[in-house]
This record gives sequence, structure tokens and C-alpha cells, in this order.
Amino acid sequence: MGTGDIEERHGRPGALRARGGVGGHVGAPHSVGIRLERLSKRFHHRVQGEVYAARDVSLAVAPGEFVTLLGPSGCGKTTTLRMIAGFETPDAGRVFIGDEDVTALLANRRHLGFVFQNYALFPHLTVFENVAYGLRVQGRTAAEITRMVGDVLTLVGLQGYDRQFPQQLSGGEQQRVALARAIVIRPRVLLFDEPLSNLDAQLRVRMRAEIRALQQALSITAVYVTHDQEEAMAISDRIAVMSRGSIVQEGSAETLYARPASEFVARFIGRVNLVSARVVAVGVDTVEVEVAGQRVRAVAAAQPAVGDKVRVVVRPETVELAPAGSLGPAGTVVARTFLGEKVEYQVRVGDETLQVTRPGGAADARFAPGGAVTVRLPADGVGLLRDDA
Amino acid sequence: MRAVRIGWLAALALTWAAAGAAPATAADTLNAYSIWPENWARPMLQEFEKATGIKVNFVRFSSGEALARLIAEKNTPRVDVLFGGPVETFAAGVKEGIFEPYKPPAFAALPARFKAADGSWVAIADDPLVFMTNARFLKDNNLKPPASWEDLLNPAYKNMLQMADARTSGTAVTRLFSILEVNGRDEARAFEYMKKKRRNVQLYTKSGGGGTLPVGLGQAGGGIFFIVDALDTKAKGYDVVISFPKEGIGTSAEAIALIKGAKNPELGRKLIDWASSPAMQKLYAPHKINFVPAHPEVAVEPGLAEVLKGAKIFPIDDAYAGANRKRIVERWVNEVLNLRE
Amino acid sequence: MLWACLALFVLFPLAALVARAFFEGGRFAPGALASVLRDPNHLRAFGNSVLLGVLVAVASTVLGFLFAFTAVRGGLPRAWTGVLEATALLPLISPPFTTAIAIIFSFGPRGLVTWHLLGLKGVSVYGLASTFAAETLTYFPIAYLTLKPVLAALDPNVEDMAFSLGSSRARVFRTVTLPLTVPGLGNAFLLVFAASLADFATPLILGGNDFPVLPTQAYLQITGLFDFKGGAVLSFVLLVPAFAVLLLQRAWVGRRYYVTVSGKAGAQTAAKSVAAWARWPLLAGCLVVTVVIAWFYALLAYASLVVALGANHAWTAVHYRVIFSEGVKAIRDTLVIAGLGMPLGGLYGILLGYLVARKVFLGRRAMELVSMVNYALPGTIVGIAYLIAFNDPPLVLTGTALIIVACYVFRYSPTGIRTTVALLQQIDPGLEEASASLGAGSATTFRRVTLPLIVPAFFAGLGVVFIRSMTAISATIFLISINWTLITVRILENMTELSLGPAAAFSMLVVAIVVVVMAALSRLLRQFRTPGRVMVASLLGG
Repeated sequence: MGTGDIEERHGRPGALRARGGVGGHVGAPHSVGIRLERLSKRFHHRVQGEVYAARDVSLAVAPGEFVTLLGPSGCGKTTTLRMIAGFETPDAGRVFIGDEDVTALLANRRHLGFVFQNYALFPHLTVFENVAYGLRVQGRTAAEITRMVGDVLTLVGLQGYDRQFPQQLSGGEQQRVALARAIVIRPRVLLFDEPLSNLDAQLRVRMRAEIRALQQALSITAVYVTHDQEEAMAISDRIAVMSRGSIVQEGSAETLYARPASEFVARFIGRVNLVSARVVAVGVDTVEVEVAGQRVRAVAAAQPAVGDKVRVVVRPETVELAPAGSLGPAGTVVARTFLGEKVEYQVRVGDETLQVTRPGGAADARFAPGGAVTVRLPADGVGLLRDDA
Repeated sequence: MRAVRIGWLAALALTWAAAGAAPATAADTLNAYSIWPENWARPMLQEFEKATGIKVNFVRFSSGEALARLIAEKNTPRVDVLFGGPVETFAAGVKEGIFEPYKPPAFAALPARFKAADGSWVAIADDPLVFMTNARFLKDNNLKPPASWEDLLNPAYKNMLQMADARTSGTAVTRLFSILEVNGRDEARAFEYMKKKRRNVQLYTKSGGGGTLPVGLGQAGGGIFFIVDALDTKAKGYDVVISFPKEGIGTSAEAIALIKGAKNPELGRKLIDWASSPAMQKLYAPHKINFVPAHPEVAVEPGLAEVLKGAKIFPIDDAYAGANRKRIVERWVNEVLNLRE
Repeated sequence: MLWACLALFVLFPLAALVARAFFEGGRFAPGALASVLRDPNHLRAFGNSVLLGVLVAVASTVLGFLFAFTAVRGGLPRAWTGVLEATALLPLISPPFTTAIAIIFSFGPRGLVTWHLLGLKGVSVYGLASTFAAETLTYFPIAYLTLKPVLAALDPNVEDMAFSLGSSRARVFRTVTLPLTVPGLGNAFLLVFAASLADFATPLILGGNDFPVLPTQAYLQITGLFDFKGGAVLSFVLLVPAFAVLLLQRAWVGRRYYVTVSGKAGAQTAAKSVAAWARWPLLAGCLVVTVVIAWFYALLAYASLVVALGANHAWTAVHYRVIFSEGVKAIRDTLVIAGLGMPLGGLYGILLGYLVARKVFLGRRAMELVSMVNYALPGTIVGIAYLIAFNDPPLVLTGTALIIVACYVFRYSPTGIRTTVALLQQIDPGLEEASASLGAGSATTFRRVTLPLIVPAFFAGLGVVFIRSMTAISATIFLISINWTLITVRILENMTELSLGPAAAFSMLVVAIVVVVMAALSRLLRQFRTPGRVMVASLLGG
């Protein structure tokens, strides 16, 4: 289903613009936080035997905060989310929503909103009845239901779709119904399990902005699962990166990008050069390292000792190029790709090949392959990884 | 691809099957439908093969099925002989014109009721009806073996009698005409009796002997059967009692006939010659087949004679039965079988 | 070519039947139909048939749902699911009468349960109740096989969603699970109804005096009263509900399946729709049925090993000796016929399924409908129609194996057809187009691309034709001959000859052969694993 299709069909891109007046009906009564304490979940794998899907996962989400669980498939992010929702029972650990320990509560007692990857709309019910389902369970009056469903459908830009069946809707529209159904019951928390992965690229970008806008308008706590780092960075207040059942690092997008704590995080978020270096001086917050003969300052989580071999995280866009013979490490351009707004180089420096990205119009965007250049690493602000990390 | 190959093989095999469908047309093989069950027909026909070298290929059907099939196959008969089965079936077949008259050497020696005047069929055995009751049932209910048709109306038999359905069974037709005879052919009285008896009937079975096993097992208390079935039940080890009504009970001949348009008429005639003669009928006793031989020269086996001693048995009048059969059976279906109280 | 086959083996016999019913010496004579409709006994039989069909269909659907739900959602250990599966499959592969006989021996006036256990006297086992019970136990597997894939295909996320919206388990079941199963339930109902409508063996044994049904009446009309015309007319009356069911199924159920959305299905989710405590009552319900069925088969096995059940319980192998001497022809004939019918049925199924699913041509829907006719019709009708049609020139087939094989192939191939269509619907036509774009002709494309993909359907169709060749009786009782006879017919014969032992031994043999062949087939099938999972459909009944 193309984007053009969607626009043609309801003619309102960005329809999730939450307006205060409407939001008032569907917003959470008050925001609450979420706390996970050492959650573990094992399952039986046909080949590997007992495997941890989640292991000692601890996480705190502040009221109104938007936190994303990011990781490759099989890292345990969905299992963790499903434990929050109550679809899976943890083998160990506890789940708190607000101050309430909900670990033993069934899903239907937790009062959360959940949006599935495949939307999980009720195929036998109309859009109206899909959205009204949770309200009927709550035993609301017909008048209330009609009003609340109408409001929320307006909010997600689907007024007039009441009588359609899910099969008749496009992917984006189904997504909006799923969202409306989740928020109409005024859940304490919204949970998203890769909600955009079945949409095409452009629609995905627009929907994530709409989801974010809606979450902020409702000021509702949200936990979002995705394997797409760009999506995670675009939508979240905070990201928790997971690998093999554990959270390996959490923080803002900026922090994760600039100061990944491990090679896994560094490689998972953005393009990266990991360059060997040697510690030459240790300061209070920073250390100085020597990379290819150039001294740069780095921020380190743990304090290394002088002389330690380490690796530094050098993002491609922080490297500058200068004509050969300038001050700094010498290199050779291996390849150059012109991409309009930017130019990507591969530059050989000693044993390493660095990825370098320069703005399309920059002065250093014109070095030809085969030519010699001088490489300038940023003087400070590189991340530092222990060699064993 | 493999599937295609399998398909071709199957098609080849099928052609073979269709082509070779009539291996039984070989010169020395005779085809027959048998109404007698396998366990009687097989030994007899094997004896025939032993005696003449003619192999008999046969398949067993109930009388109704056999007749229906012969009628359906009238234009292209598949078999040469209809072997065994109650005479009413043969009478019905005569009406459909499916038989080729043939008078075997024994024809003259047979009493009139054991042959069709034109030789459309001849009898190979006689088979009287009997009352058969379960001994334990009698004891439990403090009953004597029924000795009169009236005894079967005793409420002690309620829902405990099994006998054959007149639509499908020659046994049942013989029973209906027995009841008519003992009531002096007064249909009103006879049907009055049948309707009363209906209350005690648990099940009208599709085949004549269908009720013998239930009676043997005690699933049913008793019923009316041909003696051959009743004695067979007894021989199998079931504790049953055979008795006869003092008013008398009918008997029906078992017959054989040549099929019109038979492919091997000569072989068929040989089988009829053999079956209607003492050659076959004296073999009933050694094979423990409790038919009364039709040929007057064959003595009744002493054990069987003992059972029959003192019993009042009358033949069913062929002409009367033939003329009224359809009407009586239909009336039975409407008034007795479907009786609702 | 296919049309010619269909015309010859489906339309022609049907026309012959209608002609026999309505034409008297070349003139149209509807009087016979009128007289049948006026006969209160026949009307009663008609009413009974429909009543029995509805009751059996309702009960079988409920039971089938219970089994399917417990198997799919019960969260039971593997072993238990295996037990349920076996229970549900046993009745499908059994010869006719099995249940009926076991019921008489268990619940008859001297039944092991009613008399020996409970000491009841004068119990009547014949009639609606027992016919209903026997047919339900025989046909609920059809409902189970129909409903299990439907339940398994339900996206568990949808149920999870309902939970997370605050629904209780009962409410989720009522408002989500059950409504989503409705098309499957409808389908199961109609299939079982058709099967019951066509069943002739069970009411013949258990119907008794007070519960005549049409198929038995038609059979008796022909075999008892030698009334071909009456039988044809009665069969014709039976056509009406049979066709109604066929059309209803196509019109209503056909397009109402809720396709599960693609994407990450919740296969990882544990079943939450059933509370841990509720699992055991569900299982217990199924186990009651399992025990009953196991009891029936144990009884049958016992009957095959004792001299005379109920009278002489000494162990003996004599019945097996009998079937392997006297019965050897029937066994050989049955195996030959089943062996011929199997590949033909499989091939016919995928060819027709392929045409219907992939090719556009005039009369495609008609072809599909015609291919279903012989399945939908009660077996007695088909048998009688074949007998009438193929006894006289131009085409004399009575007495050949071909007529029996043709009867099986055209009657039991719809499973192969349906499975082929279902598989092809899962396979992207792009695959075939890709082959065509590489220069392959239509035949090559079919052989090299499509055929390997639908091999599972071939085996499904083949399996069903084999099973039915081993177990069906209603149609073929009219088609056996001097040269070709069948085990099932020998079973019926043995029963009427009071030889319960050989009948039981034959039955056990049939079960054994079918189990062995099916096991071999499924092994073969495993080597042809294709991406789409085959729904070995539910058309085993009838």
C-alpha cells in the first residue's frame, strides 16, 4: 500500500494532530511510571535447550516518558514488552506500574494500551466496534461509547470509517484503528510492539512523528519496541539497547550515539569507525589517547591506565580531510561516493580504513580516489572502548 | 514429475484391469450369485467342482440384492445361475423374466411345490420356519418355549422379539403367509394379530437370520426364523430353544435357476442337474447344513428329523402367495411396520 | 478431457438416475414423485433424515470444537494432544458398522454396559438415540479436522489484544474466539450434515423399526421390493437437501474465512485463552469420548479373537485364518482397487484443482461444482446411478474394477481438489509467471514449477481416496461383482451371516492396512516439504 494511496483515501497527511480539546477525552487521567526489577524469562529452544529470552532486565520509565527498547531480532525486547503487558509471565523479577506490583496480574487487569505489529484488529468487527471493544468491557453507556469512539476516531483522522471492516482498510489506516483502540480506554501506559514495521518507508516516517505527537499531547508513558535505530532515535526520550536478553546501555539518543558503552551499541547505532589507540594521559573526566600519531581527548566510562590499548569510536562525519602534507596523519583515498548532500570516502590510514562523510558542498569533498590526504580526527569528544569491550 | 509417472502407470494398470475384467469367462468356469451364505455355498460349490471339474465363481448377496442386481443386469447378464434363496425371490424373478426355464433330470421326481411348472426354477431344499427363544430368557421370565402363535403376544416378550422385515427378507414373507394360513386366510384377523405382536417386536431385521445372533446372545428373547438359521445358531454354542406352534407354521423351498442370456448355459445346467439331485442334497448332513432335502430320495438327517418330529408344518400355497405377495407386504409396511400407538 | 471424464462419470449417471425416476417408456411421468411425496412413511423418513442430520451435525460440531479447542488452545503436553489426535482419526479410518456393532454390544438389551453393568432390562437400543450417538462418534472427526486449522490459524495476538482491553477469559472466548470460528463451525456443520444425510450403514443397523431414514429406505426399496423406480425417486428426493447443503456451503462459508494477517504472528505466545484450571475439564471431556472410542475398538479387537462374542469367550485365531483363506480374494481385490484409485485420484485432484484455481476458461465454476457433485450426494444414490448408467451399452462397466475405481476417484477426490486450490492460493502466481518469462511453455511450467509445489495436495488426495477405498460401502455395495469384491462388503455380509468374528477380524485388518499406508504416505510427504502447510481437508466423510 503506497503512501499516495493513503492520502488519496483520507486526504489528510499528519492526521494524528492531537488537539487539546479532543485529547482531553482520551488522555490518561494521570501519568504513571513503569519499573522493571530483574525480569527474567526462559524458554525452551529446540536446538539450544533452555534459553533466556530476557535476563535480569531492570528498567525505570518516568511518568510521561517515551522509552524505546532497541535491538536486533531475538534480543528479548518483545518478550520484555509482553511481560509488561502481562502476555508473558516472568520466571523471575517484578513489574511495577506506578507503585503497583502487577507481576501476578493478568493482562486484563493491568489497564494498558497495546499496539501490535500486525495490529491484531478484530476482523469480524467494524472499525467502530473494534475501538468500542474496551469501552464495552468497561460497561460504559451507549452514549458514552458513541461519543468517545467518535472523538478518538477524529483524533486519529478516521472519522467516517465507523462501518468499515479492517480488511477494507489500508495498512496505515489499520494502524490508526489499532492506536485508537489502545488509547480510547485511557490506559495508564501505552505499549508498542514494532507497530510500523509493516508499513512502507515514507509512511513509517510520518506515522512515527504522529505517534510521538500523540504521546506528548496525551502526556502518557510509552514503551516502544523496534529494531530500527533511526526510528528509535526519532521517537524516543530515551533508548534502552538490548542484546541477548539484557539491556546493554540506556540513555538519550545523543548519548548512545556519541558515547556508546560497547562495540555492540556503537555498531548498532549509526555508522562508526572503531580505531585502535593507546592511552597517553589520564585526566579527571577524560583521557588522552594517541590515534595514528594524533592525540585526541576521549570520554571514558571506566578509567584506563596510561599505556592501555583501547579503541576509540570515531563517527564518519566528525573526521575532516585536508590536502596531503598538512599537519596530521597521512592517508590515501580508496573510494569516493558522491551522494548529493554528502560525499562518502574510504580513506586508508596505516592499517585501518576509515569511513569519512563530508557535506556535499564542503571544501574537503573533492579528493579523488588514489590521492593522498591528511586526516584530522576531532580533537575531543570521541568515545572510548576498552579493547575487551 | 513423479506424480505424472505414477499417473501413467496407474492408467496402464487400469486399462489392464478393465480389459481383464472378465477372466471368469473361461470355458470351464461358471459364474453364480449365491443367496446362501458363504459358509454353506462354498463347501457345496467346492464339492461340485470336485465332482465335475467345473470351477464356480460366486459372490454372495441377500435375496433382495441378488434379485435387484439380476434385474439391473437383465440385458447383459454377468452370471449364469442364481443359487439358493427362498422360492418367493424366484417367483418374483419369474415375473421380471430373468430366468431361462430348464428341467433337470430330477424334475419329474420332485413334488409339485418344489418346482415351477415350466422349469423356471427347481427346489434344492426345504426350510421350515421355527420359533427360536433364548433359554436363559425363558428361565428368567418363567416361560415355557412358545407352543402357539398366541404365546408370542405374552407381554413378557415386550420389546424382546426380533424377526425379519418383509420388505427385504423371504423369511418374513413366509412368516406373513404362515400367519394368514393359520388364520384361515382371513386378512383382517391376521393383521389384527400382527399388530398386537408388533408391540413385542424390538427390531425387524433386514435379513432373515439377522435376529438369530441377538437371540443367541440374549439381546432379544426370541423370534421366528428358518430352521437352518436356528440350528446354526445352536451349533455355534448359543443356548437357544427351538419350538413349533401347535396351529402350524409354513415352510419355504430353496431354489436354483438358470439366468436368461447366460454366457455359460451348459455349465449352468450341469450345476442345476447336480444341485437338484441327491448328489448334492445328501451332502447337507455331512456339512452340517440343516436344510431339509427337497429330493424325495434323500433321507432327512436323524438329528434334524428329531427336531421336526411332531411339528405341524405346511407349505405356503405358491399361487396364493404369488398373487398376493406385493399387496400383503405393502399392507404390512403400512399397518404393522409403521404402526404408531 | 476432464470435461469428458466429468460428463461420463458424474453427469451421465445422474441423468440416467433422473431418467429412471421420471420417465416411463420415454414419456415424462412425474407421478412416481408425487406418489412418494404423498406416502406418509416416506415423508417421515425424509423428516427423520433431516432431523438426524441436524442433530448429528450440531453434536459433532460441538464435540469437534471441544477437541480442536483443547488440542490447539489447551496448552497440553504433546502426549495428550497426540492422544486426542489419534482418537479423532480412528473413526475416520474405520470400516462401516464398527461403531454401530459396538453400541449394540455395549448398550443393547444384553449389552455389557446396560445389562451386565447396570442390570437394566428390556432396554431398546434401536432408534434415533443410538443412531445419533453412533453417527456423532463416527463423524465428529470431520468437524475436528475442519475446526483445528481454523483455530490454529487464529492470530493469538487478537485474543491478547482483547485481554489487554480488559476482557475476561470468558468474554474473550465469547466475543473474539467464537465469532472468528463461526465460518469454520458453519463449514463443519454442513460437512457433517451431508455425511449423516448420506450414511446408510449406521441407520441400517441401528435405526430399528421406528426410525427409518431415506438412504436406507432407498436401499430397501431396491433390494427389498425390487423397485428400481421407487429407489430412484427416493434418491432423487434425497438430492434436494444434499444439493442445498452443497450450495449453502459454497455461498455462505466459502468466502467468509478470516485470513490471518501476515507479519509477526504470535507463535511465541503461550495460550492464555484457557485458564490453567479450565484445561483439565476440557481434557476430561475429550477423554470421555476417547475412552468410549477406545472401548469400542477394544471390543472389536476382542470379538475378532474369541470364538463367539457373548457366548464362547475362548481365545482363537480362527477368524483371522478365515479371512486370510476365504477372504483373501476380497483383500486382494480391495488392495488392487485402492492401489489403482490412489494415484488416479491424486492426479485427477491436482489437475482439476490447478485448472480451477489458475486457469481462466468458460465454465470454470461449473466444472468445480460438477466435480463436487458425487461427493455431496449420498453414496447409495451414486451407486444406484452408476449401476443404472453403466450396465447397458454404450458403456458397459458393471462387473469391472474400473467402475469401482471410477466411483472412488470421482467421489472422493474433492479433498485433493480443495487442497490443491488452497495450496495454489498460498503460492504466488508470480512464481509461475517467472517460469513463463524464462521461456517455459504452459505444460513445462506446470510440470517444473507448479507440480512440485502442490505435491502435498497430491498426497492428500491420494490418501483420502485410499482410505475411502478401504472403508466405504454405501456406493460400492451396488458395484461389486463376481470378479471384484471388497472387504467392506464382506464385512456387511459376515454381519448378516452372524459371523461377527470374521467381520471384526476384517475390520481390524482394514484399520491396520490404512494405518500402515497412511504412515508411509506421510513419510513420503515429509520429503516433499513445501513452505505452505497443507490443510489436509475435512472432506473425509460421506
